[in-house]
Formats: sequence, structure tokens, C-alpha cells
Amino acid sequence: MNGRLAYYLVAVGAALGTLCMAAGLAAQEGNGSQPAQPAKSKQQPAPKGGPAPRTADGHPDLSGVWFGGTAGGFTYNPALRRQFDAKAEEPPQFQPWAAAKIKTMTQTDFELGRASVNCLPRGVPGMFLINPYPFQIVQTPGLFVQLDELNNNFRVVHTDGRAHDPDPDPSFDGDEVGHWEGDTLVIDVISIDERTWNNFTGWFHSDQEHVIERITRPSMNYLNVVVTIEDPKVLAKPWTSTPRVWTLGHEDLLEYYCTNNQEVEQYKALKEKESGGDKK
Amino acid sequence: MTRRSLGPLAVMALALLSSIPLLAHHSVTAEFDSSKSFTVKATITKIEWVNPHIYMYADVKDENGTVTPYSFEGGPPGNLRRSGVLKTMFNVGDVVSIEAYIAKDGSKHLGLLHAVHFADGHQIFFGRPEDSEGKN
Repeated sequence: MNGRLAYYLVAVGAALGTLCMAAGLAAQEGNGSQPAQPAKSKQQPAPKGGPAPRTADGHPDLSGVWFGGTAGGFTYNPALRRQFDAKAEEPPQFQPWAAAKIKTMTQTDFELGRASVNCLPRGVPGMFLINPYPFQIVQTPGLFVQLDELNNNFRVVHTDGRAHDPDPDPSFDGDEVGHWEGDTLVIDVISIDERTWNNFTGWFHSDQEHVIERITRPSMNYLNVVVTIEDPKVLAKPWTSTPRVWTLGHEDLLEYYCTNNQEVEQYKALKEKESGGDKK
Repeated sequence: MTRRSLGPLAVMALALLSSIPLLAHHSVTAEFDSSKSFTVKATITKIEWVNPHIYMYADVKDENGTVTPYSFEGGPPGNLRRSGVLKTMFNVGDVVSIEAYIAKDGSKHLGLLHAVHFADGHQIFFGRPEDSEGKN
């Protein structure tokens, strides 16, 4: 255990000790009761809103601020937040070694792998699969720009059908190139940083991961994203998502940054404890 | 603090750590139990309206006059703004009734904000733990 961590644990321990000693004195009432509820939301799913707009080159214009789910904006309503039907989607089929590795993971491992605990970018394809924050698309002929509220990340994808960089460096969004197949924008991504996970329960990936994102705007107010993941080292067969639904918002993005990340040290300490003690 | 005095404190801290699971402040689904809430009457002492999660601090006084400081966590300021909750709705010194979800690690004086009830009867609701982070 290094000196800084030792000091941290002492400080946390002292604080917890103070809390424990004071616990019996608190004027706390109703502990364990069910919380009061706000008035029921009258929000309804956004209407289709007519046909999707098109850019000068004739392709659907995907531009807009998009919120996950069908509310057409921020909502606490779980039914409107839902982006896909989990029952209709086949779970990823892992290679035996990968399935065995995930099976050994504890809840603490899951937390340590979470982008929100590590303040890692969601990257590709997490930005479409595990991102509860809105993003903005700015599209011009030949270019797709995605601005993410989450950590103010962005990606710029050429949609002129060009080939991948022959020797790309790994990155969170990978090396990404786009082309149109009818009214579908297809973004092909390789060379993705191996630190990201594709879900919150251990779906890690290899350097061979290949992601294909298919983005459509079936109507003015709706955006659908279908993600295919090939990863011959980790997956037994390619996985394809059901469509993830986003709806058009009518407001600007705000600022969101993952900061104040000292808590990851708590999880590391907890992991050490679970692993049978303090590893020197 | 000298090395001599640090020793017993470290032993106490490690003893506590062995019995209290530590959970992150960042993953609120892991930190708080959305099925159990508690309510305290408190005086707001400090407001931190910051990313990624806001914090509100408040003093709770028991019948003997003993004051206990509490910490309350809320969602990201952006999500709160979109749901109509703004920093200017709260002031240091406000005497309010705070309803919060309990911390899973047993910390008695930490909660995730559910609602703040004001003396004039109006109340402001915050989200639930699962709203702060995608579950899928």
C-alpha cells in the first residue's frame, strides 16, 4: 500500500468512525419508508413529426440534438427513457475463455470497469449503447460530426466512402469512416482502445473489435442506431443490437464532465480486500 | 500528525474498513438504495452545484440540541436543469425537510436527494438513483 493511499484510507476511516459514533444521535425519522412521489408526468412519446429533412446532396439530414428514448427531451419517465426492447435482443455470445473471465467478475469489478467510475470516455460503440446523455449531430455533405454532452467528447467522420487509415493508433472512438447505403449512414470503426466496455457488466473487447454503426432517421423526430460488433478474439459470433431509439430535442446541449474521481481508489481498496488482503 | 500518533488511528481506520464496505460516490446506483428513503429536518449549510453531481450539505439538530452535519448528493446539474431544478431554488440557511435515499454502505448521514420540502408547503423533487446513469 503506498503512502498516499494509506493516508486516504486513514482519512476515510476516521470520517466513517465519526459518523458511526454520531449515528445514534441523529434526528432521523421515517428510515426505510417509501418516498413521496411527484405528480405523474403527462409526457407522451414524441410524434413522428413528418418526413426526415435532407441535405443538399439528397441524403437524410441527421442533424439535431438527440435524447435517448422517445420523450423528445429529458425525462424521468422510465417508459419514455427506454431505448430498446431488451427481450428482443440476443445477448452477446462470448468465446469460452471470455465467458469464464466475465463469470469471475464481482460487482466491484463491474464498478471498476464502468466508464462513469473511471471517468473514461464511452467511446465507440458505448456512446450509442451506454450513454444516458444527449448528443448533437451536425451533418454536412461528406461529413458527420457528433458532439456528446457526456464529457464534451466529439467525433468527426468523413462520409465520402474513403478507406480506413492503413495503420491507425488505438483510440476511444477508433478509426472511423462512413458511407451511405440508401438512406442509412454506415460508420465502420476499427482500432478501438481496449479500456472501454460495451456494457456495464463486463463486456470487454479486444484489439480486433470491429464496430459497424447503422444510423437512420425514419422521420423528423426519430433517430435509430443499430450496432454490429465483431470481435473474433472475444465473441463466438458477431452481435447485432436491436435499434436504439433517440428522439429530437428542442434545446441546446449543456456541459457535463466526469470529475472528482478519487472514488475509484475506494473500489481498488475494496477489490484488494475481496482478493484476500493488501497486495504489496 | 506524527508517525507515533498515526499508528493507532490507522488501526482504527482499518478495523472500520474491514466491517464497512466502501462504495463509490460516482456510481450512484451502487452507492444508494432506491427502495429505502429517510427524512430529516435540516438547515442547509452549503450548496455545491457542480458536475458530475451536485451536493447539498445540511445540519440536523436532535431534541438534545446536538447538531449533526449531513451530506446529500444529487444528479448532474444539466439533468436537474432540464427537469426544472435550479441552484437558485435553494439558499444557505433554508430550514427544510429533506427526503433522501439511504446509502448502501450504512453511512447514516449521507443520502441521495429525492425531495426537498419547504416550510411554505412547496416541494422540489430530484430524480432516482437509476436516472443518473444508464442501466443498460
